[in-house]
Amino acid sequence: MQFSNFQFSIFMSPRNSRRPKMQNEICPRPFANRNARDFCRPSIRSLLLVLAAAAVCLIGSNSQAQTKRVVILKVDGLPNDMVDRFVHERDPLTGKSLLPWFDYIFYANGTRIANFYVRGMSLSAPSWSLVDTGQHLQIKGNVEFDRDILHTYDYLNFLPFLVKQATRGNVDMPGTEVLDSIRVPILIDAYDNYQRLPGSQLYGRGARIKSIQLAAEAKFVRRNPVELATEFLTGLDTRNIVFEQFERELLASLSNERVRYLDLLTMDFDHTAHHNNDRESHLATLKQIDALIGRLWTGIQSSPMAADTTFIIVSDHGFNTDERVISQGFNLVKLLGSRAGGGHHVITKRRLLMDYSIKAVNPFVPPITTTASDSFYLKGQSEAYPTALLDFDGNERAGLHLRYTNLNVIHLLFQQLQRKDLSPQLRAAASEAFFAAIDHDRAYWQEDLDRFDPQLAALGRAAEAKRQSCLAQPKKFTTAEVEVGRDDNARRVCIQAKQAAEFQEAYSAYAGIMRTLLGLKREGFDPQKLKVEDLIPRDSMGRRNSIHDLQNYVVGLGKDGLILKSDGSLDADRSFVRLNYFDLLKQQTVRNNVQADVSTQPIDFIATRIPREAIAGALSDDLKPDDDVVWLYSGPDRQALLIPRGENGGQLSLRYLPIANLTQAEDGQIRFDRAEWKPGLPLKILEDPRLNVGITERPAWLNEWHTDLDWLHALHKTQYSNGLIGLHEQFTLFTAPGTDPEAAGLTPDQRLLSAFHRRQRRLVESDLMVFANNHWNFDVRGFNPGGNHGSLFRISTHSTLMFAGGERTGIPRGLAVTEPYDSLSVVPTILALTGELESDNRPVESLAKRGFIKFPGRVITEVAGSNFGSASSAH
Amino acid sequence: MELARRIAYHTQLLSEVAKSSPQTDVAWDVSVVRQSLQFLADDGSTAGSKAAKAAGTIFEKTGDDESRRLSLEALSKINNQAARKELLRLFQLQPPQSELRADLAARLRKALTENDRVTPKEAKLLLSQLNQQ
Repeated sequence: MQFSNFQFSIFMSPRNSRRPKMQNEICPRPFANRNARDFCRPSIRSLLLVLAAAAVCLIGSNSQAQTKRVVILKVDGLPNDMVDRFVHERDPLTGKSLLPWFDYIFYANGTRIANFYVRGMSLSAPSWSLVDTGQHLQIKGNVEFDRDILHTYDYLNFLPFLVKQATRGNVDMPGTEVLDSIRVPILIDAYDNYQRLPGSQLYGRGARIKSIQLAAEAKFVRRNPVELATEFLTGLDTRNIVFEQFERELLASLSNERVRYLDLLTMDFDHTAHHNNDRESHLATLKQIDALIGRLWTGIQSSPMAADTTFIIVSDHGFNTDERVISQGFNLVKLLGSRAGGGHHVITKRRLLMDYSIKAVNPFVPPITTTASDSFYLKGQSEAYPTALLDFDGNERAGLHLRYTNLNVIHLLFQQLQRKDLSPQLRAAASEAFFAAIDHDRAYWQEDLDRFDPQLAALGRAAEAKRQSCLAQPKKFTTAEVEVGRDDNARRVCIQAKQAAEFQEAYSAYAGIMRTLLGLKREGFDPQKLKVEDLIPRDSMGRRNSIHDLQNYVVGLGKDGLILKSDGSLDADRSFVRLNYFDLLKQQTVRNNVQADVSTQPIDFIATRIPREAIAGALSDDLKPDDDVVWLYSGPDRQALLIPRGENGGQLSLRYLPIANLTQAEDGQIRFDRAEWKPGLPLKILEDPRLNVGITERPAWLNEWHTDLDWLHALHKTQYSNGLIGLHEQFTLFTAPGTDPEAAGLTPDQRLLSAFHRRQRRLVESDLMVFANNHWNFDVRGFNPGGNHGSLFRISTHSTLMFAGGERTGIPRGLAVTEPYDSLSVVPTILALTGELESDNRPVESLAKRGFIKFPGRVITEVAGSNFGSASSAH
Repeated sequence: MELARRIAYHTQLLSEVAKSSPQTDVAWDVSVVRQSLQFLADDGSTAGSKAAKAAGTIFEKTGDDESRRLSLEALSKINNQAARKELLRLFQLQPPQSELRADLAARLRKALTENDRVTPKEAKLLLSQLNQQ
């Protein structure tokens, strides 16, 4: 299928007359006429011709096309616009594009998805999980913290994983382990062990320790000693030695026809762009990537399966980097540790710049505690009682967990009750308030523990069963068994047994302490005989805070300590210092800003999930959601609710509701004022010149429900692009096969384990997601002056996805697809290409047996054709 | 002096071409490559081994017939030990009985006769290789 001699556009007819009209240009360019490649000037005749050609090409010819091998180059943080700009610039020396291989493979001979976006935050671990699974988001940060036991999931830390691999520990990367636990397979699981050669990546299976040995040999042993000594003197380049070995092995494996899936991940561009914002640095790294794709493409072309191979380059997010602006860092850890910020001891997974020293190079870091010098009531207890957890990776956003405010109240009152100098009146009032605080959550905690206990018992049985299974595993494996991965599977069983036992022990300890707390009786209560750690779990955040909690968050005692009301009861309003974290964060300003294009307010808006049952009463019938709602806060009069409907029925609709003054009373009742659309609301939709809705139609259009696809068409070129959809994706608690205790056919223990895994996933949800203003970041490891990502800005979410294939793959040539797509489209499109997807987006039977389920994302039909589902499985 | 400077320029460019890409035609405008090869083919008799290696590599990496022809012309013109080594290497890569192999053999024989600085040892070695296969 060759489009290369045409130049055309297709205008899709809108399904709904009120839907913004979307120009879906497909603009292949003539190879020879370089000047034509920047333009699409459709005439009616060419349009008709092209429509006919496209219909034939996209529908007809794909019936025979099928990809038998997939080679994927994963590039972390590769912005589509930057690649596009450099591809169109000519190198005066070579007379070709600055990125000649991109130009040749994907622009002239392949298909590029010009509007490919992250669905969710532009952050590596969540974003790669979408790209690698094709399923809705389960992993929501680069680092996740378990609120109950402070277990830390660090999805990016490769080195400890390699060491564990080398010492016969964990088989898979942490992200893969989590996805396994909830039974969400990744694309490479579609292939048997011997059929795949995945590189080192976030969702990796196994580590190629032998490859690392070979890499070291190639670098240090099999080299001319003089050359090596010279390099040693001039600076030993060790950064890419493993990657280069992986590349060599990938190229070598192309000759093996049994290998059907190969990939490589390079993080070089991400690293470069975080630290440098200049064109030359970006271009130098992109040229290296360009050369790499040239080598891969050349290897593919000389392989026996060249005609059946599809080569894909995909990235997880874009990059907010601008030569004119230095990205500025704002230290949330410092804010939270200050008295004004609540005096929190803050846990992070990355070491702070202020602490940089030789210990900072240690990759095996446990969670790092930054001790507040101004702690209200936990001085010297930072290791036992951190009260804030912060994940700032990305760094244009930060996930913030705060300890459950009522635990703070209980902790404070218990400390007071342990004092010996408390007056009898105060002691009585404090004791009453202490038990009232426990009673406040008694029903919730009791129910939670009652549900949790059988789950932990089931976990214990599962751990024991796995332990027995581990003991029964063979210790040695034949070559044939290794080839199909039985050695790794055996180790997985043992690791799972160990992890299950560790989780059971940690959660049991947590549950035991909570039961002790709930078991306290007013009668005979003697705080002197108790220790705080017997009542309040160490390293635990407790339940997630409600909106009311976050608007009235207790950080300590007032300057006058406990105060009594006239009736002798404790005056809670005057006794405790409370903070409204929405106002506090939003109101942060800096005085040392010297860049005109950078706001003095580092924080753009704050987002959090409101459970459906909490908000439903405040919404009229026409706005009733059938899932949880996202609240966006950009000031008292600049707020919005994102309301979802219909996702479970297969057609998600979303409504953006401008509001003001949202508050939640202590009894849970939520109130807010409806507001008109106006500029300055979160996501700045109305005023955006690139909103694909006519100026006069905007208020009416924006005040309606629209499908996620309609929103995508309308929004994707705006400053925040598909952020509205991304926020829904980020905050929705999607059910996975392994987190659905109601699924049919489960045994009682399987039900309990599904409930356990669902609980675990919910425990990592932060209280607040803080989004930075443009060119601000929250990195406190370094300042990342070059640029950042993580936000919902289009520059950060606009990513790269391109396809090129051999003659039998049917990948169109010279095609620029301008229809917007997102991360959920990658896996179903690849499976459609390989003939492993049914027309209703379900996997073929062989993949269903491996755990794959129906994919929610759209297949990119411009690439895979629209008649997928009729081909049989390729393997 | 001027000739030496120009040879150095074209050698540098061709070395860059040779090492930059597995397929030179993708990364380089063929007219740029041809121009430099043409220069060496016309005036490259004093070019060094770097130029010879670049020309040999480009011969392998280009799909442009004219560039391939000019690469061989350049090697013949350079005709130093490195150039002859490249010609021999390319000769050995060709299938037996091929037209190109015969052409390369002829070029090597001509190179031996046209350059009186070829040592007897090298000439003997080259001829034995040519006759052997």
